[in-house]
Amino acid sequence: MNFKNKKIVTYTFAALVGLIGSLNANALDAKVGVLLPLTGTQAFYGKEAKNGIDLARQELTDSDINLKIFVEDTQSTPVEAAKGINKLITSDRVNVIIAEVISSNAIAAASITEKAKIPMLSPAATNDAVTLGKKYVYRTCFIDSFQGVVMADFASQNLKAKTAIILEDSDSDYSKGLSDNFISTFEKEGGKILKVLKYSQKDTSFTSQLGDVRKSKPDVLYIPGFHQQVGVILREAEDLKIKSKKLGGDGWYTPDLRKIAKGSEIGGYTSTHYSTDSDDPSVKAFVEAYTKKYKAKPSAHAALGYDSYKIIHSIIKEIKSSDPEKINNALANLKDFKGITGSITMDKNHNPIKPAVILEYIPNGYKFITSIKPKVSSN
Amino acid sequence: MLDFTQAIIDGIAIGSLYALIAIGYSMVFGVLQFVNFAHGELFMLGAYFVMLFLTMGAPLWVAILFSLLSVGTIAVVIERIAYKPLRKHSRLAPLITAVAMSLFLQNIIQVLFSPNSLSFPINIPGNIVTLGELFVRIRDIGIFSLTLLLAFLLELFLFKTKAGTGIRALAMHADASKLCGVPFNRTVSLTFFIGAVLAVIAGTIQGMATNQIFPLMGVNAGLKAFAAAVLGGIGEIRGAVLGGLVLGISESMLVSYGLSTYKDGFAFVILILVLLIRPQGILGRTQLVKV
Repeated sequence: MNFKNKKIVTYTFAALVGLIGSLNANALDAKVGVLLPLTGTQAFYGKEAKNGIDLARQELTDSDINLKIFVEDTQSTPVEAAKGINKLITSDRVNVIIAEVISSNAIAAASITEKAKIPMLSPAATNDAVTLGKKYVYRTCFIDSFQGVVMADFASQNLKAKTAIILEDSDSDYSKGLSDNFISTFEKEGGKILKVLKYSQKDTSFTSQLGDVRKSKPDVLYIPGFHQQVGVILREAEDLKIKSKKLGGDGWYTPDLRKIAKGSEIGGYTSTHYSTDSDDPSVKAFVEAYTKKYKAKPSAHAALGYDSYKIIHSIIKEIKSSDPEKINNALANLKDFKGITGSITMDKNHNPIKPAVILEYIPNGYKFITSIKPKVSSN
Repeated sequence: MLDFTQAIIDGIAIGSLYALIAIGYSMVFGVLQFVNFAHGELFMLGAYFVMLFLTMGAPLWVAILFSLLSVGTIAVVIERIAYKPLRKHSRLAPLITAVAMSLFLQNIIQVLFSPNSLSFPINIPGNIVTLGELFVRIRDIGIFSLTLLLAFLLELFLFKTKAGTGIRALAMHADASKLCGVPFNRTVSLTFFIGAVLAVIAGTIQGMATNQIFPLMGVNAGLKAFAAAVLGGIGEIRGAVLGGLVLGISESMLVSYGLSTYKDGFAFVILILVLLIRPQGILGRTQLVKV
């Protein structure tokens, strides 16, 4: 086939598609960009989110709106994230974008969508800075600082803890955010912080810090860190026979933690976005459908991807428009959206006001303990 | 006083690991007056090789033995291809290839095993015994004793065997030792091999104690051990052991007095102070250079 023929065929095809499209005159077309790390170091999270989005697309079969998705891979790097988002905006001309699960990549993408005035919804970038001061950037997950508040609430109300020691990762803003919010909330509720101890991600032994904990015997030990260090800390705490309850954030919520902690994580509590063991019927239905389709339990990222797509779908369906400005407006005013990861209402900083889930580590799994709603909006 | 004693006990294990790595730096420096900056990577390679042999189904002692032989051989090969050809050039040249070799080894392991940390198949439990208010891990006593034993055996080797005497002769005066019939290249290789063996043992202990290994684990350990070697007096086996223990215990004290944020900088403060005030280190001897 020569070049000219190819062109003719393409045009004919385009005309046909247009014809078929116009037959269903009521259907509203909209283009949704999807930007995720599908290869590279964080590919696991990107693929989970993509699975969630695909499952939502399969379930939502409305005749009156017709969403087309355009997928770009960020290769887990901010540079490729910026390239991908540019392609989605300038060449695919999408109306709205579901973008990135990693905070640093989401920040790179956010500055570009902000300039192009295309609304972007991140399923799982939890860093406080992602949406800060942005008019077109939103997220489906709660932010880092909220987890500290939730854990402090849980410690003082459910565990009736009066004293706490915090073991903070001094190399991470995430850890500091969680720790600061834990301290202010825990003290507000009448608890006493005995000590704030620090460690570095380079450390290989935490005995000196834990010796302090052993001596002070606090009711709870809050360790808002990442699994590489937390795993060792938990094991050493068990060696030192520290009886305090151990609490952590979503940095704990990975199978790798259990590989390092080798059983010492049992009895610890973590805050995270959702639990597959929830009794909520909609969560149960989602877990069942997901497990059937992908032969694996959905992670938090899958649930957040699923919710993100459903939010976009429901907004476009409701406002009956694919205009980015109108979608942006609707996202800003999103209220009581019933998602798998809880009821979602956007606050004025574009962060959802939604519950966090507390899980307890039990042998070979997690036990759903409670779901904690924010009492007041964070602003 | 209680906190003070506890801090000493806590610092002994990490200090022993610094000591084991520092011996390698020290011996190589003694023989070639050259700092092998790829030495920290031998510590990392040791742990990876042990894990590799363990996952292939070898029992622990076989895995450690094979890892000692493999990494020892790698150390000798590195010396032959990256340092030996530059021996006659300026002293800066092999130092730069050493840094390059260190980066190369870190990255090759990241490519082969992924940059993430891997969990170590075998681990030593960290049970403690209490003495009143104080507590000590049984594991740490073991690590400390092993370090002293290895240092003792090494001294025995250096002073009682022909090959060991060769190393000492080379360290004293390279040209004179050649004239007396000490095989230069073979002795240098032997020095690298011994250093690698001790680094592998340290890497394996760390893997088994923390239950995880990662490609950059040698960077921090290597730098600290280098500071320890300088502190104790580079070129001296006993100095390296002492330097390692002093550094480990000092770090543990900083943590127990609430200064953990400054811990990682402390080794380098020591390094600078030693170089300014007593460049030969605690146990180092000043040598008269005859012109």
